[in-house]
Amino acid sequence: MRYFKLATLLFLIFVVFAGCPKKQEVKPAEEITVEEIPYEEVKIPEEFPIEPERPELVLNRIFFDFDKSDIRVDASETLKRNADMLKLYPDVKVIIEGHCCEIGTAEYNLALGERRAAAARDYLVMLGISPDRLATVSYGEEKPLDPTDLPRNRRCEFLIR
Amino acid sequence: MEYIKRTAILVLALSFSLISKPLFAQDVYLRLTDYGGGKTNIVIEPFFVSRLSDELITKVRNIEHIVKNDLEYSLYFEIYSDTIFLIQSDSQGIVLKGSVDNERLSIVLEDFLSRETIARRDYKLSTDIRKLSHTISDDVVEILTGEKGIASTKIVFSYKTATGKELAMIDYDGFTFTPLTKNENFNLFPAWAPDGKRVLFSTYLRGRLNLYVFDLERRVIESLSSFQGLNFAPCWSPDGTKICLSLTKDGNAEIYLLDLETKKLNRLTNNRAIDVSPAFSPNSREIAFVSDRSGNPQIYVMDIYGGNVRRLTYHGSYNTSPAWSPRGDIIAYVSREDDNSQQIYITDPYDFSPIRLTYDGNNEEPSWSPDGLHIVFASNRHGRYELCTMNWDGSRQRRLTNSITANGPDWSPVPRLSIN
Repeated sequence: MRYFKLATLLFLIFVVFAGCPKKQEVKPAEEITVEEIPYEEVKIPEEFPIEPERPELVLNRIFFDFDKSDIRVDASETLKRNADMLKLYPDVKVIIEGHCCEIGTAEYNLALGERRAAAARDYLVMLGISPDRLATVSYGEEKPLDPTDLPRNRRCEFLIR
Repeated sequence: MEYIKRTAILVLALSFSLISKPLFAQDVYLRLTDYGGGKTNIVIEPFFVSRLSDELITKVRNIEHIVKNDLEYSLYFEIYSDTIFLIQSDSQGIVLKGSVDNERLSIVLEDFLSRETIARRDYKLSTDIRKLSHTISDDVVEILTGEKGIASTKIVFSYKTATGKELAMIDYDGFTFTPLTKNENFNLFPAWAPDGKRVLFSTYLRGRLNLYVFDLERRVIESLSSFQGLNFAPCWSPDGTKICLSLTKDGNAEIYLLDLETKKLNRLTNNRAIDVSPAFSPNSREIAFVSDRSGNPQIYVMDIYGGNVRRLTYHGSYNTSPAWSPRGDIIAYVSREDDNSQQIYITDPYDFSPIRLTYDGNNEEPSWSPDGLHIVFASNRHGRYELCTMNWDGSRQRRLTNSITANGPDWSPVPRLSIN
């Protein structure tokens, strides 16, 4: 029985040795090596870079008085918060949109909206935000927030670019 | 021989244009009080139709109806349907007779008393009966008054859509709504070129408000001004050589003049105030505009070099939208009332004398018809903003559009050639 096993093994070795050169000639070996790393060995780096604790980026709109582009007291508080936010996100660029209520002509309101956007931009620059990060555009009275609530339409929106 | 004939015609045509030129310039200077009076009686008799088919009769009755409306709208005529009215009141007048034979429509104008033919015109009975009727009306007006009729004029405006505001055009009587843009953006401040073939407008197509010109014949849009900031509220000088517009490239809204021949841009205003809404005088020498340099928006007038600035309005704290009448002697504008409503006023451009024309709802953005006898404007008297027209003195206020929210109307010049 043992001899039989041995004989079989020898026979197999013979077959392998005899067969191999032949095969290589016909078809060059195309070995696909898949390196399998045991699951346990994948190391999770212990010092993962921790995001600094910063709140979600929210920029609030500010409001204006009729036919005015002066920054009101409540608006200056909002702008200070917006500026603090922008300091936390130094890569974020912002488009400041100036808007007006429907009173007055569309043309004049476009210019007024531009003036409001510029006032908001200048205020943010004064608070230390680089002007390179701030672009302005006016939509005049074309994009009301709420057509029924005129004062709410006299505003600036801060859109993240 | 043929050559001599042609030359003769050319010389004749040239001399006619030389003679007629001063007539159309500001030398014709009707005063406010002269506009209304002295209407000519005109009797429009039912047109004679030789071939009796229902379809043809309906068509001809429609033409009669449109011509009658046009002539009534023109303010030059008192319209009657039968000569009996002239006989009863023992008055003079014109009889308009029409006859249809095959595909030809002949119009004859006859003096009622002498029975003499004043003029006769033949027209091809086309399928576009509105266009044909307006052509007939304009011919009648020109033959009888020497003035250019406005029945073939159009009004361009912005109308609200789900995605912004698009531009469209309608006939002066509110028919034939024709959309112009379809870019799902805000298309604003359409303003006709004096040739009636192009329209200036502003749009945020590239994210910023730039100025474009829409060629109605070629159906293409070309960029005209795209400076940093806003490029808006354009108007074309009546002589066609310049475009006046507002730009915010230098910090705040200032008025600039673009010379179309030299391509040079001249800054006309220079201060920290908002300067917008330029409107040319008909002789292209002066510009009315809005400025808040006094603390609130008022209307000013300057020359085309930015000099000789004078304040025009001294009534109310919010006056905008100047529109200089093509006759030169009236500026229409919008004033905010104590109740916060906006109303249209007219005044003499050189002697401030405001006359209020509108009372219901808000009424804004006046634009003059080329004959200076009518005003188109945006009004929310029926709820949403729609276009209305009225006579120069505020009479006959009527709705021009419904079922759309429209604003920013601009009345076309009299077409020199056909516009679609």
